[in-house]
Amino acid sequence: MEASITFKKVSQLVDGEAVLAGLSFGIENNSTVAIVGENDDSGLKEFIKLTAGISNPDYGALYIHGLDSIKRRKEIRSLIGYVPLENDMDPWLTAMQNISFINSFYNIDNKKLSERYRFYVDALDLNEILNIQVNRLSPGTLKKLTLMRELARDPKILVLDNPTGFMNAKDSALTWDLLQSLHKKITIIYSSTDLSKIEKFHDRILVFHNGKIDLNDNLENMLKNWQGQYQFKIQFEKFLTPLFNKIEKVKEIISPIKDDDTLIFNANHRSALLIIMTLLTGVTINDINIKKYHLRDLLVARYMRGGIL
Amino acid sequence: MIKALFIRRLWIIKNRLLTTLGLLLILPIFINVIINLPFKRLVVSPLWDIPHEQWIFPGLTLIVIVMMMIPSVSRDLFDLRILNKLLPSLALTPISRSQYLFNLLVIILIEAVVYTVIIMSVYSILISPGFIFLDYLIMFPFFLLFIALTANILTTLALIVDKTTLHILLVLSFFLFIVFASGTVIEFEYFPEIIGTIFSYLPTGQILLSLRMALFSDVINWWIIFSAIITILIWTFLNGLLFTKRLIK
Repeated sequence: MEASITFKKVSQLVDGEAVLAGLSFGIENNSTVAIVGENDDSGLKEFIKLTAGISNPDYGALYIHGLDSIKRRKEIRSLIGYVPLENDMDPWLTAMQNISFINSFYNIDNKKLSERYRFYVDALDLNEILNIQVNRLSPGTLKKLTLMRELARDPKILVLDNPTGFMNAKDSALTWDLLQSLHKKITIIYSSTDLSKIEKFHDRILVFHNGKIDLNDNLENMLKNWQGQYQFKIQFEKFLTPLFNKIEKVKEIISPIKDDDTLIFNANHRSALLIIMTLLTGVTINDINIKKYHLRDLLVARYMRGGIL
Repeated sequence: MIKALFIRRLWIIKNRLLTTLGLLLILPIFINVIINLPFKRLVVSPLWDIPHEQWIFPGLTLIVIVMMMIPSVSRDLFDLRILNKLLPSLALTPISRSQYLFNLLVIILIEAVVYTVIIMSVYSILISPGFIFLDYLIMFPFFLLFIALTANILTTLALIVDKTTLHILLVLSFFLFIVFASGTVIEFEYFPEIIGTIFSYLPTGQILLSLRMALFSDVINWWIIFSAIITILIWTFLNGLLFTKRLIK
């Protein structure tokens, strides 16, 4: 698939210290990439700034739709929409004045722009607030307005820093619905602290750790490569070692542990349990517990406790 | 781009119409009461042998224009930059930053010209200087030069500092300089000789001196006008560079 964004050995310095080091990878056209920063120094903020075009790489090169991000800056600007974490609207103008002002610098047909305004005003429920001065609006509403402003330009790439930050439940739902309707139509790159949303809405997850991309895959593959997607706990009345030795040899199960009379193991499919059951004739089972792993479990195990088992 | 900036300026004025109109009427009266009236009693025999009202008219007008310009420039280039509003999204548009600043200064100039007409009208009623229409026309190009120069100075002050308190202090000092040391209401001859000479050779002093020469002696010093234009253009270019640098982090 054609690359939407390509990083070639990109490094970024902040106060003389490298916060991104030698990034080389590509983001496919029309894919949705969720970004997670493991900590404040992860490099996530700098990654977003680079992708959105706020800063230029200190080393290496960045290509947007094959165009060099520095040499072809003007052409690139029309391809990218950026929704920052905090609103950047002019406090002395109304909502609609703000949106019209910024979009007037892009060469867009007024008729098309008006049509898109109408569409996104309805989609994000912004009708009531368009003529209100923005310093009287809530941060969540301003976030929706910023999203509308950027989408009205029909960007090929949309970069969002915490897309539903400061929003109430209703606004958050509207925003996610709108973003999901754009899935596979444009390239979406977003950071979020809402891991459950990330699990549901991504083609790829990038996990930043100490200025490098530590994990780069979809959730299913990440969990598979970690220790499986499910954790099983079977509590026996009496769990003998010969049985455990037999279970250990089943190739579908990952890292089995015998904890007194309890068997704990991981697997990528729930059907692994059925394979184990066939080995358990004549054994009394007191309880079975199946847990699906989430992104949070992986992140906690990897960065906070060194393993949750 | 200039159209977009012009429309934005109209929107800001429209959104704050009462405040703007109120200031345009109150400030000339205020400056007249606190500066013109006491100075009229203080300066018994003017050095230029010209009626006090005529001599002080350009200076009073320029003081109010500078007062009206301070919020405009500070809002657009200091507040927005410090609060991280508008300018980040502007920096991401396909327009060049220095081009934006140049157009912004042109808009500030247009706005100041409109204010100038209103302020001159207010002062014509308030202090009755007894000018003919041609005198007002002669004053206008010099006002434009003075406004362009002070807009550039205010732009630099808005771009070089990041602390609000320091910015206020600098703007306040600059305003005091305009009132007392640029020849608006105090003649340079009243200062100690060296200081008066230095002030009179500064661009602000030069513009006011040549304005009064054109107005009262019918002498137009083209050299000063030309130098002022060159100074303004170079200053605008440098401000453009500064603005570009300040927006790229």
